[in-house]
Amino acid sequence: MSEQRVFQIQLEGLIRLLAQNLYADPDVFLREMIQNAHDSVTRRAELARDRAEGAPPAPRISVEVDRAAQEIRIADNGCGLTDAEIDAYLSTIGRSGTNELRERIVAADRNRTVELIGQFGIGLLSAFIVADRVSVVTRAAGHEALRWESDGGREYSVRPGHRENIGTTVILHVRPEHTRYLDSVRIKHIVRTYADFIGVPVYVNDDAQPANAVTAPWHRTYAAEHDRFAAHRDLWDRRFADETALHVVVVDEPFSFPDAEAPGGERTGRIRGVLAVTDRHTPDVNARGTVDVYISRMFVGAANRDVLPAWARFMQGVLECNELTPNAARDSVRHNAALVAVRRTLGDLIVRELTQLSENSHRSFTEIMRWHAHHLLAMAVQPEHERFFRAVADLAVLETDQGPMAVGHYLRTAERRSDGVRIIHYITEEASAKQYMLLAGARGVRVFDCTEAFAERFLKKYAETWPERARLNRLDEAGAEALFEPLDAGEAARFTPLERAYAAMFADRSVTARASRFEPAALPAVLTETREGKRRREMDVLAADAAMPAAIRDIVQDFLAEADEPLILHLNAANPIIRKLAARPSLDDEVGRSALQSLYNNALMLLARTLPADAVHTMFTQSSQVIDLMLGLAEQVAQGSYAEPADAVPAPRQATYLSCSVTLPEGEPRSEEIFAAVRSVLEAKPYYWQVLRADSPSADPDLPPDLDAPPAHAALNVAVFAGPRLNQGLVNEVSISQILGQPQLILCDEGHPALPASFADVPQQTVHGLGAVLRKGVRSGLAEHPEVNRVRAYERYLSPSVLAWCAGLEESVGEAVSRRYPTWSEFQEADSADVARAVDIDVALVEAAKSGLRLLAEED
Amino acid sequence: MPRESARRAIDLLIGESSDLNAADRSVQALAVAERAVLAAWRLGDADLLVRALATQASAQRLLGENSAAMVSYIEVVKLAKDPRNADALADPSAVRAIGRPSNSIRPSTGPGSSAATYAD
Ligand SMILES: Nc1ncnc2c1ncn2[C@@H]1O[C@H](COP(=O)(O)OP(=O)(O)OP(=O)(O)O)[C@@H](O)[C@H]1O
Ligand SMILES: [Mg+2]
Repeated sequence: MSEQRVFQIQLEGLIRLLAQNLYADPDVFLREMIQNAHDSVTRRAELARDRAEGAPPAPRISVEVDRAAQEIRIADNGCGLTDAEIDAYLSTIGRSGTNELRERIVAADRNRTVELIGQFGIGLLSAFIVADRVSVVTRAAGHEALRWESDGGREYSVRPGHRENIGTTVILHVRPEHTRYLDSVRIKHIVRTYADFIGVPVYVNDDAQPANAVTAPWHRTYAAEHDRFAAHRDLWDRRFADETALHVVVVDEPFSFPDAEAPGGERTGRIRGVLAVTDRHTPDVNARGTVDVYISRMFVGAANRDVLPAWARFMQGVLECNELTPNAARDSVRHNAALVAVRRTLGDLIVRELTQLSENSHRSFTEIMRWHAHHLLAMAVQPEHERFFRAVADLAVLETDQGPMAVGHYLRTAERRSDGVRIIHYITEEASAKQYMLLAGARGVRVFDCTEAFAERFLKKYAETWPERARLNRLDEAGAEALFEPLDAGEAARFTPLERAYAAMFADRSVTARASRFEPAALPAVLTETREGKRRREMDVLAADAAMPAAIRDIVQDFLAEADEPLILHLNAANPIIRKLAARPSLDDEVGRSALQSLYNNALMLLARTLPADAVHTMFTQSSQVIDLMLGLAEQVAQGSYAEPADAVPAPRQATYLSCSVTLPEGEPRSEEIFAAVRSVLEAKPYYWQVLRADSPSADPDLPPDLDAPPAHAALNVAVFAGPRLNQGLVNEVSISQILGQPQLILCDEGHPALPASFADVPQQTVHGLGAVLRKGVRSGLAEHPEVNRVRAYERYLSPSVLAWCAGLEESVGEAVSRRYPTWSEFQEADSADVARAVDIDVALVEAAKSGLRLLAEED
Repeated sequence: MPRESARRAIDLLIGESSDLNAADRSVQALAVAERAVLAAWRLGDADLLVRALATQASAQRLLGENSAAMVSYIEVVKLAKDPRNADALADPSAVRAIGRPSNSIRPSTGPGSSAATYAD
């Protein structure tokens, strides 16, 4: 036999416990009170409609902060509560008068949208987060005023109250630990956060203006489409004040989703609001892609990431959708069929917008691409976004050796096969990227850097989609033949002894030497390795790991013992030193052996420039000995066959001005001073060069990519040695420049440790002091430099410093001018009004700068 | 830790084998895959074993050794059905090898890439 029993609830304290645990943020008590007030005025309007009465007074909510009485009072001119309603709704947790009303209305007329928010019947509890006692003074039409009171315990009291007009006032007796809420500024802030768009004005204390915006842009009507857009954009700009919208989308999308209870098994809904592509770059993939969500005019949560598709990390916005369901704490959105449909609908909208943008405004789209290439590529390669892919494929921007470049632009200028198909060269391995870019750059071949995820997948999809347009060639796999031109049989024979000498040196066949011809001619040898080779090297390391279980190690070693893919050492038949070595009667003497070893070492270093410091040191000691030996060797051979190093590195395009790249140790304040001195000397008379830091990013994030900007001719590399220690990275850079025969100048701070002996043939200048003294040192180093004196017939670079001297232009303005008009002549020829508009300054200032420059030119 | 270096080594073997397959060098691919299978089996790692077997099977198939390929596939299916392996086989690459539908899109990049896993 069983009998039904009833739970005994210990209500004492339970209410407070619930209130304090349900809500993550105590601020929400005010949201709940305002929500109730809102529903109450809405209900009053409903009732008036039902009874065909005249319209009730204009809805209004007021919040009074009373420090003296330690009270917050929330008053509305809504419908009030009768005695029976007080018992049924106000005092019954989990029962919602509002929800029952909504259901009645919807049952009567399915097509009515009801602007009621409350649905759980628990919001009132949140008052006990901040209050130890809550009083409600209320008066319903045709009833006397009543006063309800509760301290969150089991009992509540109801007695006659005083209230003149119909409506309700909720009085919160604030607990001592929450008196911070007795501050009207704080209260206004909370009102704006949660109830900005509630549709009813909320007045705080005696303010004449409501604290909230009352309605959202999508709840207003507009005379013109343009106004509508402006209102939405304005909201976005204010909400995300520290970001910039690259493209704004006004959202007003219908959608439908399955709902078993709805007639036809489907319900429809609407998403309204504003989304924009933000300029926030997000290396952290979890950073953006968020929206502030409103449901039925009530703010539910900031930075929600469930509403947008996962790939849409570049979007940010504010949306309202009443078909979404909040959780009981009203701070996030339930995962249900409506949410899935919303996400899909927004995904479609974003793809549609971007597709259109790519068709109508290449410029804007390219700009977006520059910020968010990674996420856009990630989206484009997904099969369901085929249309987007096709629309944007040519505009997609990928990194190249010469900065970011659109695929379409690349193809227009790429090498073309006889059947019209263009070749896309790319690399995927980060470690060897620099080397391949160097080799390709010297040949005038551009290379896409696909070390970023999705870039390779994107190119592959491109080539699969349009095989008649493009063919891929991955340089760091097998495609390196494009860089290494085979020799004809007669010529090849001349290098056979050299190849054999290497074969003897690497008896384990881990390296195979092969002669070919490649650019730059100044580079004697490079190493390439296949992906397989790389894998083996990693396995070698793993097999040596003592922790590896022996049973597995056996298998790995067994595998490694078998045929190994050798590293290929490409010997450059165009390089004078290689030619001389090949011509030597014997390579088996000390000079020959050292030379071979050193060439190999340098090539290894170029392949992976992340070697431990001591390895670099050993290499350079040896390398410097060998360079000495080389010099001796060179003397034995006729002088005439030696090519001038500077000529051996051809400039790929006609350069219009000269530039100097300065390499300096990071985080060394003294080197910054020296750098500044180099700038002030080289950017001025008589040089007028461009001075760049070697580590500065090639792309300027503030400007759209101007792919056809006139190039600079890198005429000189300056290396700054300063600080207490010899910087190995810098030594490395100088040595590489040395090997490549690039003109360079070393500026060494007085008192800096001695430089490697192998740098003896690099022009050097010791500098000291500050200001004029420092500049003097720099100037004499440059004045004595043979290369600096050789190149003169170039245009003058228009540096921000020059613009500052001759026209007093601010640094930032000067930079903007210089970016657009890198040379004096371009600037002089440009229309002053255009310049003024482009950089947003007065035309008079542009004219002043021009005449200042003319004066300077006359002086020279 | 010892497990990690062993896992990585086996992973490299599997990668090598599938690259060889792709380059039409299935004889070598098969030899490497057999080593990977043996190593994964010795390590007792279901996820790697499934992937190694699948690679072995495709090499066998490309070489026309269809019945051998069948045997390898059956091994894969047996492993997949064994409830003890459920956890180990949740990894997306194992899922691909088994052919169970997976709705996560993982960029085809190596370790250390900054790419996200896009799951929807
Ligand atoms: N200012 C008010 N004017 C009139 N009735 C009110 C007012 N505040 C509360 N009520 C009544 O008390 C009930 C309970 O309020 P409560 O906030 O706990 O629940 P709710 O608003 O219905 O649902 P939710 O938990 O989603 O907020 C409401 O349904 C409403 O009937
Ligand atoms: Mg409520």
